[in-house]
This record gives sequence, C-alpha cells and structure tokens, in this order.
Amino acid sequence: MNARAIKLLKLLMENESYTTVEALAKQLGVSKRSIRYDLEAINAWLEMNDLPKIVSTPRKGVLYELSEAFLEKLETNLLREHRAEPELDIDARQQIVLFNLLISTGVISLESLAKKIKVSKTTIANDINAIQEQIKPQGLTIERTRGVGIEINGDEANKRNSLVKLLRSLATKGTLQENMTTLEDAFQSIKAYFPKLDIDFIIKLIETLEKESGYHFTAEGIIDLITHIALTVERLRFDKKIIIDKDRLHELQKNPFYSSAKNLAEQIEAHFKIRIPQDEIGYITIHLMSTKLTGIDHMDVGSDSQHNLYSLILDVIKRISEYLRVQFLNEKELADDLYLHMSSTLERLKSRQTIINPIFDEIVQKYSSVFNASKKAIKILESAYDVHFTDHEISYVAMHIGAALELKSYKEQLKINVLLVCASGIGTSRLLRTKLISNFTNFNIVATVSYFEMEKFLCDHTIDLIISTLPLDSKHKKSVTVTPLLSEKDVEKLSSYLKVNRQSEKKLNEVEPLIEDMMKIIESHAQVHSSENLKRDLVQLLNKQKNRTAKSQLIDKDLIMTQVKCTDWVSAVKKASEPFIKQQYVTKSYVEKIIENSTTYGPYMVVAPGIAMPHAGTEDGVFKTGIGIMTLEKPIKFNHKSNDPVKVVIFLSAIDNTTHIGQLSSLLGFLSEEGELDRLCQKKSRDEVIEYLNHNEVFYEI
Amino acid sequence: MLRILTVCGAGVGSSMMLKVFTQQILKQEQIEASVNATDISSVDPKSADIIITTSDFANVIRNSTCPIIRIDNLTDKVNLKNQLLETISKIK
Repeated sequence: MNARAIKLLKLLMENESYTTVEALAKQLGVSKRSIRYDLEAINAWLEMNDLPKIVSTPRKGVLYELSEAFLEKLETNLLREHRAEPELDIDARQQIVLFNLLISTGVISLESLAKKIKVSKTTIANDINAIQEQIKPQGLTIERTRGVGIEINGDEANKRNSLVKLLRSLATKGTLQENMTTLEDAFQSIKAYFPKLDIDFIIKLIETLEKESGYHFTAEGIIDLITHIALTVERLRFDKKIIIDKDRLHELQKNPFYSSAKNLAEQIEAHFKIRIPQDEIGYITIHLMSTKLTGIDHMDVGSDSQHNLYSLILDVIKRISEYLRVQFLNEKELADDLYLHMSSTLERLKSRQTIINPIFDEIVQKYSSVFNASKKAIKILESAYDVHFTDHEISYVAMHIGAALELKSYKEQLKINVLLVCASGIGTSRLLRTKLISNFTNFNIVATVSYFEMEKFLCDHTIDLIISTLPLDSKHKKSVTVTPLLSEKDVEKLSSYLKVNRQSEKKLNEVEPLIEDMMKIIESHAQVHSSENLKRDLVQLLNKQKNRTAKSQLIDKDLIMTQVKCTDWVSAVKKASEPFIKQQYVTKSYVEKIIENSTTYGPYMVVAPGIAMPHAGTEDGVFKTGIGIMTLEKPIKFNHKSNDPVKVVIFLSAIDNTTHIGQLSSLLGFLSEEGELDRLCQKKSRDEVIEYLNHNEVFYEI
Repeated sequence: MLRILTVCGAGVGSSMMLKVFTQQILKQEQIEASVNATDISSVDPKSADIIITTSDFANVIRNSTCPIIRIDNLTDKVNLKNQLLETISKIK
C-alpha cells in the first residue's frame, strides 16, 4: 500500500456511514479511478492480513466497519507497513555502493561501506557480486584483496562514463513516476554528490555556452554535461586522467566543438585552480558532440560523411517500411529526426558510452514488431560504421519509428495551441506528441521545445496550453504535467483540465454493463449473500469466456483443410499455404522463402514424427498471425531422417515471436500424445476437426 | 548465469517452441538460466553456453565451442529434458 492508500483507509475508519467514491476523490484531491485502484489495493492488503474487507454497495458508496477486536490488529499491521516503506530497495542500495566504489581513489574496506549504508557486511558482499555483473559490460572489474578491501579496476574513461550514467539515474529518478523531479532537483542531487565543488559555476558555464554559441541542449544533455565536467574537476584533483589516442585527439581538435571545449576548459582552470590537459579537452569535446542537440535548424548535411549517414538512414527507413509493410507519409521528417538522433548515437557508440532508455520495457512491449524491424534494419548502420547498437539504443530508434507510425493514423483539426516541453530528448517528445494528437483531435502542437527554450518561445508565440514532462514553476498557470508515455491517468488529467470529453473514450471493462444487468436479474429472483463476491465471480466467468473466444481466433476455420491429396513435400507446402495467401496472411514470396530455406538447411520443418511445420520469418512477408492445419490423405516423405512420413502440415505465419506460442505449444503437445495424430487425420471435414479440438479442449488450457 | 540459445530457420517457430519447452524444464528443475531464441543467420555461438537446435541446423553452426543439443522431435519433452540435464551437469 502506498501512502495515499493508507490515508484513505484511515479516512474510511473514521466514517461511520457510507461515503461515495466521488466524495472520497474530492477529499483526497485525486480521480475517482485512483480511489477505486486504492480500494482494490487496500482490500488485497486487508485480505492478506486476515482482516475484514471494505464493503462497497452500488449507489451508496463504501463503508468500513471494524470491530474493536480487529482494530488493534489493523493498527499494528499498519504500523509495520509504514515502517517498512522508507527502507532502501536493493537497486537503490547497489547504486549507492557502486557510487562509493567508483568515486574512491583507492581500496575501500567492506566494513566501512557497510557502516556507511547501515547494512550488514554480508549484504554488501552480496551487492558487490551483483555489481560485478552489472559493470562488466562497461569494461570494469572488481578487485578484492583479502583483509584489505575492494577496488574497481578499469579505464578512467570507463569509470567516468559509468559514474555519469549512475548519477543521471540517481538524479532523474522518478522522472517517469508521479513524483517527478525538476531540473532544479536534478542539480540539487548532483550538488549533493559533489559537496565540495562549486556546481553552480559549472551550471552557469553551460548556460552561457548555450546562449553564446546558439547550441540547444536537452535537459538530459545538460545534466550529463554538468556531471561530466564536475567529474573531470574532481578526478583531476586526484590525478586520475583520461588518455585519448593521439590520432583520435588530432581528429577531435579539428572538430568545431573543440574550440568551445577549450574555452570551457580555460574558465574551469581559472575558477578551480587546476590544470586541464589536452586529452581532457578532447574528452569534453566528445561530450559536447554527443550531447543531444535539439532543433532541426542545426542540421547541416553538408559534408560527405554527413551526406553518407543521411542516405544510410534513408536505407534504414526503407528497410523498416519493407519489414513492416507500411509506407511512411512523413518520410522526410522521420529521416531528419533520425539523422539528428544518429549523429549523437554514433558518437556515443564510438566512445563506448552506454545509454539507458527509461521506458525501454514499455517500448519493447508496445511496439515489439517495430522494435524487431528496427533491430534488423539497423544492421545497415552497424556494418557501415563498425559499431554495435545495444537494445536500448535500438529502442530509441523504435520510438522514432513508432511515433511516425502513430502520426499516420490521425487527422489534424486545429483548435487549441499547445506547446510541448520535454526533457528526455527528441524521441520521447515525438511519441508524446503523436499520442496527444490522437487522443485530443483539437490540439495543435505548435512546437516541441526543451525546458530552456521554453521562456524564449513563450515571449514570441501565443500558446493556450503548455504540456510538459517536467513540473513547471507555478507561474505557468496554463500548464499540465504528464508522463512521456501519456498514461490513461494523464489523459484524464488533461480532459478534466480542458473540461472536455475525450473523443475516444475507451471502455475499461467491456463486461461491466452486462454484469450490472445480470446482478439485477439475480437479485430479483434470489437472496444474494454477498453481492460483491457474486459480481467478482461473474466477472471472472465472463472474462474467461471472452479469452476463450480470443484464443481460438488464431485458428481460423478457413485455415483448416482435411485429407488433402499431395504428391511431394513442395506441393504439400504450397497447398497448405493457399488459404494463407487467399486470406492475405502472407505473401507468395513467404512460401518461396520456406521452400528456399528447406533446400538450404534441410527438412528442418518436420518438427516431430509425422508433423511438418512450414514457416519463415516475419520479415519474409507476414501480415497476420495464423496457424493452419492440413491433414494429408496419404503420408508424404519430406526426406527427414527420423520423422518421416508426414501426416499433418501445420502451416504457420507469425507477426512476432510471441502471439502464436501458447496455441502452437498446446497443439503440438496434444498431437504428440499417443494416437491423437492418427485420430486427427481421420476427420473428414473442417467442422469435425474443430469439434475434435474443442472436445479435447486443446486451446483452452494454456 | 547459464546462457542457452535455441536456434531455428526464422526465429519464430521451432526455436520459440524449444525456448518455451526448455524454460518449462528449467523451471521444474529449478535451474536458473537465460534462454533466448534466434534464427540461424544471426546466431552467435559465443553468446551461449549451450545451443539447442535441430540436426539440420546443428550441421550448419560451425566454430562453436559450446555443446549443441540436437532435437529432432520437438514434442518429445522427455528426450529434451534428459539431454539438457546431462549437458548442464557436464558443463558444471
């Protein structure tokens, strides 16, 4: 339970009569939906603690009645719940241990670490094992000296990269949750980690640079730059220097950013009274280059190498649109965005900096096919530049593509002028932008700017509403803060702000209205002991029923054929593919690819005795996921050394690598049972096959 | 942690099935391991401790130093389990 839920529970304990959800929502200053979620969480907690649950009655509200006997138990349990909260979670603790290790200039004893973080030595030792795995990909190792302590070994550049990454994640923690951090908070957090350093000076330095040079950094980029510079100063004091390869340094000195870096270095030298070696200036140059620049007007596709990158990006987009079988309407805009993004990405990859996408999981989940297509297409860049894109880097590319795709599916109607303020770079804001437009057709997104550009922009433009991913000062009255992925909650927030109803109100639970009707009928015929429980059981039953229909949809009736006559394996594959091509599940070339693969690698499609499962990859021409069943009149040889002859052909088309797995494994599992394969082959018609599979509940229990 | 790679022609069919079955076995036996599915053209033998695939593909995967389990009957979980457990015990 979170703090708000606890507050709600206490409130309910005070109320002796029914309170409506609406009143509770008003009292706590949150939405009705939030209250319902909280009530669910509270009831789950109460159940876990063997306490009576909150009663909710339609049209009356909610009530919590508790006898004296339970009261004490509740209070002790609540107290325990409260106390458990502030403890550091494992991740946060490990981050702090890692920070201490990275920042130290010598060996640290386990004991001093344990004391500092207030946990046992065993805990620290376990954390260190986990950390060791985490930092391995960053080129760092942990050295233990018995009786003395531990130390991190590795390149100074690797250590610093790792520190910056860590500090950023500590400083911007919560950016995606409700309690977002502002840039100010992030600065405060950096200051806390460098108590002896004049961070304000560095902040001013970067702001001046931005003004004078005309560069625009994103908020995220600014945090990184400041941390890098602070680290440079800190590490130089302990004589920990970066060494850059001579040729690379020479190349960097020709870069336009080098003079800015040199200028920065001179001011830092004067202020902090240290000497900054040339290699370090080169290092700052790299970071200036790789800090994300915002705004398309900085784009200059002049030189050959830049031109080359741009045309490679066009190739990548073309490849992706082939994989996904879509045409980007705004290809030029997408290419510009990706170019801007890739310029900094390639710098990052060359200097082995890693990046973490805070919404990686959501991207991979929501846009899995886009992610996979991007991953494959990005090989073009990987081979051209001899770099390796991490999955997190690819997820950023997928964000751009996903944004471009969502853009396709809306029509603009200009009404409210919206300024979008974004912290985490171009990819996030693009996605947010299209999500906003598809939810609110009356939004006209005038521009997307970084936090620092906002003030200037507001002076020159008329804006009706500011939507920001960072909380803004209270003087910006017309602003709403949202999460980058625009959750349902955000949409609700915006709707209530605009006092308009959303265009596309989604039904949360489709069975809800039906349940209400059923409840009325049941209540009129019978005495109901617990309407709450009855309702829950009904919801479960109906949802289960709905899932059943959903699950059997992959096996389309039209994809089933019985006792088909074929002469050889090629004709069998072709025959099995016919309904797939006719119903536009796959292209003809998909079938050719299957035959080609089999000729190259052998009859691997014969996956079990008597069962062939012809299929190729998603990118070979799949529009829709489908599983076909074709039984053969006479068994056919596929030339497999142990599984011949084939009796059933299960033709498969898969749009991703997950949707079909449940059904396919149930089907294969079922057919591997003694005699089932032959029984299936005896079925004369589609209906008989379906009847047989349904009778055996093949697709129900997964 | 033990890294297991399942391989097939396209990375969506047999290799995903092998992945699911392997995960089921590992869960039963309470063995911790990462299981990934991939297609034959992007397989990197260095990224795995054990490779599971069909005979046809096993013949194609060269310069692999890790053991390759050959599964020709996808539905024969008993065989998969025996081979998998035997290979794991050899590695350890």
